Amino acid sequence: MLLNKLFADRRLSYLENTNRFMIMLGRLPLIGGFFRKSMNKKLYKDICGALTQLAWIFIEFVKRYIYVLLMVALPSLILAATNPRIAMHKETCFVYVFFMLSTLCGSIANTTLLSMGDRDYMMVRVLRITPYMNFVGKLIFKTLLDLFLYPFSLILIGMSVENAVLLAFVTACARPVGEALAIFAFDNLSFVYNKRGLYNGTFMALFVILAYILPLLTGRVTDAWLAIVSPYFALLAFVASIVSWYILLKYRNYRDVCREALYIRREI
Amino acid sequence: MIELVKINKFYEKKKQILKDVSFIFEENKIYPLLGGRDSGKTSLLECISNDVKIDSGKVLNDKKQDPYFVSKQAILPMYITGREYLDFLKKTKRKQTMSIKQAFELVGIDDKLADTMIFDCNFEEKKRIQLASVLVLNPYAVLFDEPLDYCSDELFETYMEVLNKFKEGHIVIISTGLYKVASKIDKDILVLNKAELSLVEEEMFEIDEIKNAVLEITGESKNVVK
Repeated sequence: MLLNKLFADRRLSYLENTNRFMIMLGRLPLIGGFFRKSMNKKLYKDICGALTQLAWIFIEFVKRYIYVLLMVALPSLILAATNPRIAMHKETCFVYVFFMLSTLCGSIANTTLLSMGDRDYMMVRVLRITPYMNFVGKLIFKTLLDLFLYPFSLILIGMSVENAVLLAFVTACARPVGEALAIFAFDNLSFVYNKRGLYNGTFMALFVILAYILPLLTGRVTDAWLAIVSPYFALLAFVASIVSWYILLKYRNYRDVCREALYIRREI
Repeated sequence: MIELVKINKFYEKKKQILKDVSFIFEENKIYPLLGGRDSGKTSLLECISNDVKIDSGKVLNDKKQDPYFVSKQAILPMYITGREYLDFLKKTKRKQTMSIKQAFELVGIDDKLADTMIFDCNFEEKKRIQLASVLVLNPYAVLFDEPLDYCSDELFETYMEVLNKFKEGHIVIISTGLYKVASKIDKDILVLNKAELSLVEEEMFEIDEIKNAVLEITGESKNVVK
């Protein structure tokens, strides 16, 4: 029951994607008729469901890989090409750029809580999932996805396995921290919340500058940044994550946040 | 029981759409809420269902669950069947609720329609699916936003038949922009006009001036037969 509510969004996506896939198969020339007749057979639905889930996981992985390739690896290689000192510490550069863009910027400027949309409207108002369950479930899923898919993307661009796993772990730990900060801003810093588009844009610009421009100007990426992928830092990130999760699970005003976000969405 | 205590609601902080609205909704009754276009019917229902913030006042609900708001646009997940939709809703309920088969039978949905994708259903079929979802979810209070305006007589009869059984131990509010629909739901009608809510009882409609005034609000006054 708890899992049904927590992952209601994923359950609905599973049903919708399975049906969309079956409809697509039913429209194929020559063989479409066979698939249309099988539409209501359980085994056929289960097979289509499994295939769509595999495809979905693959697409999520490809999205992350393309992001890591274009936003981390390629700029790092360009930075390395401009400066031999950066070229000597390529992996450090990967860690540094990923940390700036995904771990810090991604957690602060791209929160689940403040980006509610039509889907959340469907979940909360039509399917009667409480805003609390909807949010917590989405955040758990997003965190697990980052934790399991990012290491493969990072390994594929040439990062060591240990560093890739630890970096993904630290990033997954940062997600709830960013959400807890969003709640704090909603409750206590209304001027930040009301202009969050502006602040998000500012944060993104700041972290892009830190990620790309700073190494270009200083001509180096110090090895001290490898502390991010040390077990001690991972432990610190884990503790911060636990504290943030405690705050998020104890918070009781998700309905107010949801109302505000969905109201603004509808009025726009 | 749901009690509205001096609810005030402004639109974009300028236009007042609800002004000191107070009323007590009791169980075992279907309340028609009548109002003209843009009179604030949907806003009132959204305030009662806790979907929008009230500017001042309170909604007191002696049950812990929020009322279920059923939108007029029949917003439903499109790429699932009606059966999958009800099954999905059932799996989020801890308490035993009506079976899907029984719910479909009551609202007039056959097996073929139940296994049709919602995007392939017409508007009235979606309205039936919404009604079936109410039976499965079994909320204490359900708020329908104009479900019966401009629908077929058959759908109207189905809705009233189902809801007249459902209302036992529940509160049902149905908003409408048409007096003829409101009068078929119940003889006593809640009228929302110029941000104020008033209960117009059956006897008052016998006074032509009052009836004409109500018809004027809904724009039906040309059809008055004296």
